[in-house]
Amino acid sequence: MKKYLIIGLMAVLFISCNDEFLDRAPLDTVTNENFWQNEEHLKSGANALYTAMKGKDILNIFESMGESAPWAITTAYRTIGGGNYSTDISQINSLWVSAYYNIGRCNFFLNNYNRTTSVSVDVRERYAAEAYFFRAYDYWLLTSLFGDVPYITKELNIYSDDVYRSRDPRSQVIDSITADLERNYKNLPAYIVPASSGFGRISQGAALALLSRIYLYNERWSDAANAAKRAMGIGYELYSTGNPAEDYRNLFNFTGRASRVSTNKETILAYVYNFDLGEDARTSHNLSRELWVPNDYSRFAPTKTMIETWLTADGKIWNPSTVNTYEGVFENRDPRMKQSILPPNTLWEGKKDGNPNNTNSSIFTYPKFTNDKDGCMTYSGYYLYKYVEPTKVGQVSQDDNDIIFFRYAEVLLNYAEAMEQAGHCTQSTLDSTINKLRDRVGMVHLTLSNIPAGSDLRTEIRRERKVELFFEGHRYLDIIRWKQGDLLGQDLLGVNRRWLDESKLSSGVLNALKWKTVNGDQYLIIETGRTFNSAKHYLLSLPFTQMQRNPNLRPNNPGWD
Amino acid sequence: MKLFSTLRLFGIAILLLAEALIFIVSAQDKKISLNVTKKPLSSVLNEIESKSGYSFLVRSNDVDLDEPVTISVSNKSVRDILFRLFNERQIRFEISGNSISIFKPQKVQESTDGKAVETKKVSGLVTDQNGEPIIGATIQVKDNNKLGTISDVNGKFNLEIPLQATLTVSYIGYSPIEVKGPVKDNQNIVLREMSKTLNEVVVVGYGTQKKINLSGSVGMVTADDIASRPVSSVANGLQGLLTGVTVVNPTGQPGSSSSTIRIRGLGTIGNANPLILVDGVEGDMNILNPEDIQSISVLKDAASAAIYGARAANGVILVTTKNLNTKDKKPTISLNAYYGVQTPTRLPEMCDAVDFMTLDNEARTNVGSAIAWNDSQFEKVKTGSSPNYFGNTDWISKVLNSNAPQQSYSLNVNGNVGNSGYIFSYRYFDQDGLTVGNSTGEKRHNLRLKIDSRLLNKVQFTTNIGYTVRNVISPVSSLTSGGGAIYNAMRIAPNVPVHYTDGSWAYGGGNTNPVAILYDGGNNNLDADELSLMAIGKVDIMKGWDITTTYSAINKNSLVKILKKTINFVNPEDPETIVYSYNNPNSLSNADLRQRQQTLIVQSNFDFSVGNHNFSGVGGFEQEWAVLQQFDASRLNLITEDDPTLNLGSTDGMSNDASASQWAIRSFFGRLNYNFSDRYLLEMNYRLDMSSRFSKEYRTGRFPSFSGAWRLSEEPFMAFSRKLFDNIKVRGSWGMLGNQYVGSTDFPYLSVLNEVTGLSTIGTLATSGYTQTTLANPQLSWEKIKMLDFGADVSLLKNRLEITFDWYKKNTSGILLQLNYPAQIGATPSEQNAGSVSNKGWEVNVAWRDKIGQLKYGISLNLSDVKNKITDLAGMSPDLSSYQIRQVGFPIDAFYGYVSEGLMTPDDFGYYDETEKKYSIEKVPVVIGNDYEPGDIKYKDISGPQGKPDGKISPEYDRVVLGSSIPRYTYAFKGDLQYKNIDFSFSVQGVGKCKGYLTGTARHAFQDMAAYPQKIHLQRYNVETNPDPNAAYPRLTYNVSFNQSTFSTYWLEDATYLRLKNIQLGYTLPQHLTRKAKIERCRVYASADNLLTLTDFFYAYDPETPVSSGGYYPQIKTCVIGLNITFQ
Repeated sequence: MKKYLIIGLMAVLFISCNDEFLDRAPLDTVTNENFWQNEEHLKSGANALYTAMKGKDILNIFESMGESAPWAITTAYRTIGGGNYSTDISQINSLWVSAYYNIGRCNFFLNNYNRTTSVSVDVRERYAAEAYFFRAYDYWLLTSLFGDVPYITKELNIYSDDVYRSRDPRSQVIDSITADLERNYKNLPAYIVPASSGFGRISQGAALALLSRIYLYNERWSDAANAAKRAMGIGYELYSTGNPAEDYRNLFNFTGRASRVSTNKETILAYVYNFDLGEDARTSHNLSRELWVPNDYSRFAPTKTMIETWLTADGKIWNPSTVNTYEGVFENRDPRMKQSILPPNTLWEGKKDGNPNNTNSSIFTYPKFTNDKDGCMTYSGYYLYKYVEPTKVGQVSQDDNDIIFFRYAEVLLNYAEAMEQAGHCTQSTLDSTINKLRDRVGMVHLTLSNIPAGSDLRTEIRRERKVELFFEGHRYLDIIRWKQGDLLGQDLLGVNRRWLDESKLSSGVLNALKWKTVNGDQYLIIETGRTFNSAKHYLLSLPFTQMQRNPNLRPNNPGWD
Repeated sequence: MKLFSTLRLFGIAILLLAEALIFIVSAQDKKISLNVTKKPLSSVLNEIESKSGYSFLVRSNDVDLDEPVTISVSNKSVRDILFRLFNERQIRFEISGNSISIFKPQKVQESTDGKAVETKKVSGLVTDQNGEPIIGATIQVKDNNKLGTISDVNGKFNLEIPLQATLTVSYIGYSPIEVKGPVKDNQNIVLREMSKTLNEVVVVGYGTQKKINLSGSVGMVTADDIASRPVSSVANGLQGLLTGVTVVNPTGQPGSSSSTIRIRGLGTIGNANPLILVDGVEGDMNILNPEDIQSISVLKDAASAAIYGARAANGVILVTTKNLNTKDKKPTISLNAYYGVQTPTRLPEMCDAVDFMTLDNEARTNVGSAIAWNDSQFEKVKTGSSPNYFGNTDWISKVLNSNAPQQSYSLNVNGNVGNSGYIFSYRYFDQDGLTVGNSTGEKRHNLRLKIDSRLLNKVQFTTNIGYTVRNVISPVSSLTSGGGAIYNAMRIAPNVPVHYTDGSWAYGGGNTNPVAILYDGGNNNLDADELSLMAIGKVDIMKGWDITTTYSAINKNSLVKILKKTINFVNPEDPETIVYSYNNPNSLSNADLRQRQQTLIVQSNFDFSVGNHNFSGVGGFEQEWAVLQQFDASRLNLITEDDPTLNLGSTDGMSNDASASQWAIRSFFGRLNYNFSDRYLLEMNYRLDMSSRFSKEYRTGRFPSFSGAWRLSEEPFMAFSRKLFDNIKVRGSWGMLGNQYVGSTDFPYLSVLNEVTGLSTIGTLATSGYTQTTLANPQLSWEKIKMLDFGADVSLLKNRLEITFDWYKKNTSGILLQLNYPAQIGATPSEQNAGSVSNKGWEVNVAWRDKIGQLKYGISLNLSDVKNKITDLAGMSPDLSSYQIRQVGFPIDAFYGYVSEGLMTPDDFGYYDETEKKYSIEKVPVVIGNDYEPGDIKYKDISGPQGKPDGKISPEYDRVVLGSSIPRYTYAFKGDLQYKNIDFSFSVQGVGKCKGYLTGTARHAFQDMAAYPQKIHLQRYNVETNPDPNAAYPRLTYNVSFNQSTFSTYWLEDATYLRLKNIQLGYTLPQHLTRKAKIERCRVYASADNLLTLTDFFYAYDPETPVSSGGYYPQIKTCVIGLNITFQ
C-alpha cells in the first residue's frame, strides 16, 4: 500500500516539475521571436505589405466616387462622391482602417527587419525601402482624403500612448513621407523588367512616380516636376506596337499586360493576378465580366460629362449638338475614345444588345436599356471598352488582367502639370509629355499656339489627364485637388435621347426611362440629388467610429461637426 | 466437502449481511442410512449431503462443526436423523427445499421484569407493490435487534417472536414499515419502493454520488429520456430535458452538429460552450450512438463544476456510456429500429412571376426610376409564350423535396463470461437531406465494445472502445444563413425557368441556378472516423480506498473531398454558345484532418466512516494533450467528374497546404465530502490547472469551491412532517471557475506571424507574405467565474411529488475582449482580460408520479430564467455602429435601435406635388437625408442634444435598447403514461421571452438587385391600394433601403415559441406470447419530433434562430415508426 503511495507521489513530482509538457509552440505559424533569420523571411515580411495595393478595388472605390464612370447603381462609394452621407457610413471607416492596418504592418516590418543580420545591408535596405514606399502610399491616400491625420511610425500595442494620438498637420505628414522616399528610394532596383519574375515589386521608378504624385497633390510643383523628371530618366517608354487604333486599349488587356508581355515598358507598377495558379493560390478579379456581363447590367456606367471630354479628332472641343446619332458620338473623336468606350459595330461578349433586329450577338450595335437577363444592359447608354479582356467575360471572377497602379503616362502628365503650374511649361514640355501620348494614338498635338477655343492650357492639361488616365482610379482625387467639386454635385447623366433611333430598340423602351432636359436635349438620368458643399466636401468626414474610439481625433473636418 | 465449504461461505455471507439468522422452510422426507463413530460433525453432515442431496447452511458461531459425533440409523428420514443428532445439543434445523439450515435457537426472551415471555412462530411473505417477492428483506422485532430474519428467495420468512411484538420490515430502496403486534401468522407485507431519486446515483466529476447526498446543483437525464426519439444528435435530444440548459439547433441539415448548448445563460462574450466529457474525457457527444448512453449529468453550479477548473466556466456535461450489468450471466440481445420521414417546418413563400414583376415595377416607380417590365412581358409570363425568359418558377419548392427518409437500426449484446462482462453495440443511422439532387445526407455507423475483467476481487480492468464512421454529403457552398442553394433560391428571379425548353439548365444571372448547382455542381463529401480507446485499471487497496488510472486516446481522421463540377449554361437559342460556365475549370480538393487527443488520469477515491461521521473524497492528477494536423491538396481540370480522385486532375495548377495546432493542460484536483448522519453535508473541491495557452507566468489557475446541504427532514424535530414530506434538503454553494478558451488561436500570448492572403501575384508567381495581423498580449490569462447558488430539494406525498429549486448568481470577470481601439493601433488589437458579465437566474422543476390502478403516469414541468447583463467593459465606449450593442447594464449583444410608430401616411406631409406625385415637408420627426414618402417608417423622437425631443431623429439621441435574443423563461412540460401494454409520452418545450431580427433577403425585397419579394410583401403599404399605417411592410423601394437598413421595433421579431418537441405512442406485446420466441420484450412505437410549433415569429423561419439573414436549411419534423426487441 505504501508502495503505491510512494510511486504515485514520485510520479506526480516528476511530471509537475516538467515544464516542457506545457511549453508548446505553434506548429503552423512562425512567431516573431524565431522569424527574421534569412532573406526568405525578409522577403515574405515585405510581401505582406503589398496588401496596401488595393488591386481592382481602386476602381470600385475611386471611380465610383468620381463622376466619369461610377458603378451604375448600388454602391455606397457613389453616395460618398455625391455628398449625401453621414459620418457613420462604413466605407470611410474601411478606408481609414485598411490604411492604418497597412501602416501598422510597415511599422512592424521596419521595427524588425534589421534583425535579419545574416542578410547583407543592401538587401535589407531594399525591402525596407518597400516598407517606406507603402507607408508613404497610405499616408498620401489618407491625407488626400482626410487632410490631417495621426502620423504613426512606431509599432504600437494596446498600452502605447500613440493609440490615442491626435491629428498631425497634413504638411508635416507629407514632409515626413517624402523625406522617407527621397532617402530610401535609391535602395530599390532602378527598373524591373516587364514579364520578369520580379514584376510587380516596387522599383525606383515606382517610388519616383509616387513621389511626383505626392508632391503634385500637395502643390509642391518643382519637387513634383523634379521627381517626374528623375523617373523619366529611368528608361520607361509608352507601350506602342505601331497600331494607333489599338495600342492604347491593349495596354489594358491581355495583349499588353506587362506581367506577361515584355514589350510593355510603360507599366511601372501593377497589381498582378494569376488565375492559373492552384486553387488556393490563384488570384483574380471580375472586372471584364462586370463591364460586359451578358445577363445583367454593366457595372460601371460612363457618363455624359465623360463622353463630352474627348476632343474632336482635330483637337477641338466636341459639341454634342453637332451629332444626331448614337454612332455619331464616336465619330471624328480623339482616337482614345473608341478605345475607352465601346463603339457600335464592335465585337463584344455582352451577347444580346438593345437592337432586336441584330441577329449577331457577338457584335454590339446598340445599347440595351432593359435588364431582362438576356444581354448586357447599360444604365447610361454606354459601355466601357478600356480594361475589358473579352476572353474573361464568360466566367465569373476568373479575370487575371493586371490592374495598373503607376504607368509612365502618369509620370509624363505629372510633369506637364507641375511645369505648367510652376509657369515653366513650354512647347517642348508638351512635346515630351502630352504629345507623346497623342502620338501613340494618332491624335493631333497640343500646341501652345493652338489651344482649343474657349479653353486654356491648364484646362487642356487637366483634360489630357482625365482622358488618358480615364477609368484608372484617378478622377475623384484629381477633382478634389483641382477644387472642381461642383462637378461632383451635378446629376449623373447618360446618353442623349435625340441620338437614339427608336427603330433600333424594342418598342416603348425609351418611354419607360427617366430623362432630364439639358439645353433642350433629354439626357438619361443615372442619379440625381447629388450635392457638393465646397466648405465641407473637399475632405471626407473622419469616420464616426474612429472619433468615438479616439476622441483626440476631434474636431472633425470643417462642415462635418 | 468443497461444495459444502462453498455453500458455507455463501451462507455465512448472507448471514453476516443480514446480521441475523437462518430461516427454515418445510421439506419433504427422504430416507437414508448412516453409521458413524466419533467423527467430526462436519464430516457427518457431508455424508448426509452426499446421500440425501440436501445441502446445509450452518451458522458456525452457533454450531461446533469439529465436535465428534456418533450415530447409527438405517432407512430413516433426514428429519429423523437430524433430530437425533441435534436434539441433545440444543441445535435446531429447518429444511427448506433442498437446503437445511442448522442453528442454535434464541433464548426465550426475558422481559424487563425478568419474567420469561411467551413466544410464537409467525411466517409471512414480503412483496413489492406489484406483488413481486422481495428477497433479503430484513424482518426484525422492534426494539430487539437480536430477534429477526431475512426473507428467502421466495420472499418468505419464518420467525419466532414474543406474542405482542411489533415487526419492522425494511429493504434497501424501499420505505421501511412496521407491522403492529400482535402479529398474525401468514402475514403479507408489502413494501413500497422509495422514490427513484432518493436512491438515484448521479455521475459527478471523477465519481458518483447518491443524489440525496448532493450539495451542489446537478441535473441528470437517463437513457429512457432520449431513447426512441428520432434525433440526429444527442445535443438535439437534450432540448427541454434539463432545467437551466438551453439547446438551440439552428438547422435540420444532416450531419450538421451546430447545436449550441448554454448552461445557465451566456457567461462570456467569448467561447460560451460547456465542457463536454464522454466517460470522463473531452469528446463529441453528437456523434455517439444515443442508445449507448447510460446517463448525462450536467454540473451547473460552481461547486459541482470546479473540479474541472479552467474549462468548466460554462458548465460541464458528463456523458456516461452504458455500464456492464454484472448480475446477468445470460447474454441479452436487444434490437432497436426505426424508420420515418422528415418534412420541413417553415419555409419562405416567394411571389410568383407576375406578382414579382408587378411589385418590381411598383418598387421602381416609388423611387422615381423607370419600370422594368412592360405589358408585353407580363403577357409572355401569363401565356407562357417565352418559357426561356419569362417562366414562372417557385424556386423554394424546386430546391427542396417535400420529405426525406431517416432510419436507424441498432443492436446491443451484453453478458458475462467467467470473470468478465461485455457489452457490444452497433448502430446504423441514415438521414437523407431535403435538398434535391441527393446533395445532403448523413450515414453513420457506431460501434462500441466494453469489456470488464475482475481479478482477485481487487483489480478491475475495463476496456472501452468506441468507433464511429460518418459520411456526410453537403453542397459545396454551405447551407447556412446568407449563402448556399436555399438562400440562392430566394435570390433568383421567379421568371427564370429551371430548364430551358431544350432541356439544358437555365441561367439565372449572378446567383446562377440553385437547382442546377445542387444536381450538377459537385459536392462536399466528408468521410470521417473517430476511434476512442479507453483503458481503466482500478485497484482496491482496501475497503473504501481505491486507485484508478485511466488512459484515453481519441483519434479522429477525416477526409473532406470537395468536388466542383463544371456546369455550362448555354444560350437556349444557340446551344453552342456558353453564356456562363460555373466552376470552370472543374476541381477537386482534398482536406485530410488528423487529430489525436490523449488523456491520462490517476485518481484515488476513498470512503470511510467514524461513527456517524462519513468521509469520502477523491484526489488526482490529470493531463491532456492534443495535436491536430490538416493537409490540403487540390487539382484542376479533372479528366472525369464521376467520383474522381486527385490524380485525375491536371498537374498544372495543383496546390497543397497544411495547418496544425496543439495544446496541453495539466491539472491536480481533489474533492472532500463530509456528512454527519446523512443530515449535514459538506463538500470542498479544488483544482489547479496549467495550460499551454498562456505564458509561463500566467499559466496556472486555482479553482476552489465549497458547498453544504442540510437534510432538514432527517432532524428529529421534523418528525411531525414525515407524513407529508419524505425529504427536505436545502443547499448552498460557492466556487470559482475558469475559461481557458481564448479567441481563435491556441497561442494568444505569442506574437504570431500569420500568412497574408490576397496579395498581388508578383511576377505571376504565388506570393506568400507574413506579418503580425493580431497584436499579442503576453499578459493574457483565464476568464474567472465566481458563482453562488442556493437551492432546495423537496419530496413529498410519499415521494410522488418532487420539487427542486435553485437560485444562482454567476459573475464572469476578466472576460477576454477585443476592445474597440482606434485603427491607428495598426493591427487587430489583442484580446485582454477586461470585461465582466453577470448572470442571475433561477430554476424550478416540479415532477409528479403516481398510478391509478393499472395506469401509471408522470408529469413534470421545468422553468428557468436567467438575466444576462454586462457589468464592465473596461471603460470602453460601446460600439454603436450595429443593431446589436455591448453596453454596460444591458445583455450581451442587446438589440439597439429606434422605436417605430407605424408607417407615414399622406397626413404626415405638408405638401403634395401633383405632377411629380411626390410628398414633401414632413410633419413628423425624420432622419435627415432620406427622401420620405407615405409608407416609410416613422420613429419616436426620444431625446435630443438638450435631453429632450428635438424634432429630429438622430442616431445619437433616439436609439434605445430594444431587447435581447438571449432566450429567457425557457420551459418544458413533459408527461408520460402507461396503461397495461400501452405507453404514451409527450414533451413540450418553449421560450417565454426572446427577440429576433431578420436581415437582408430573409425579410426584404428589392433591397438590392437580387432580393426578390415573398408573398408577405404583397401586403406592403401602398398609398392607393393599402394606405394602412400598420401594414405588414413599408412601401416598396427599389435599391433604396433606408427603411430596411435602419433598425427599429418595426423589424423586431417576437421569437417566443411553444413546441411539441416529441410525442410517442408505444405498445408492448404481451410477454406470454413473445416468450415462446425467447423474446423478453417486444415494443412497437410511433414517435414524432417537432410536430407542432406555436409562435408569432416571422412565418418563414424557425424562432430558434432569432437573428439571421435567412436561407439556412430548414428545421425538420420527423415522424417515425419503430421497434424494440430484447431477446434473452
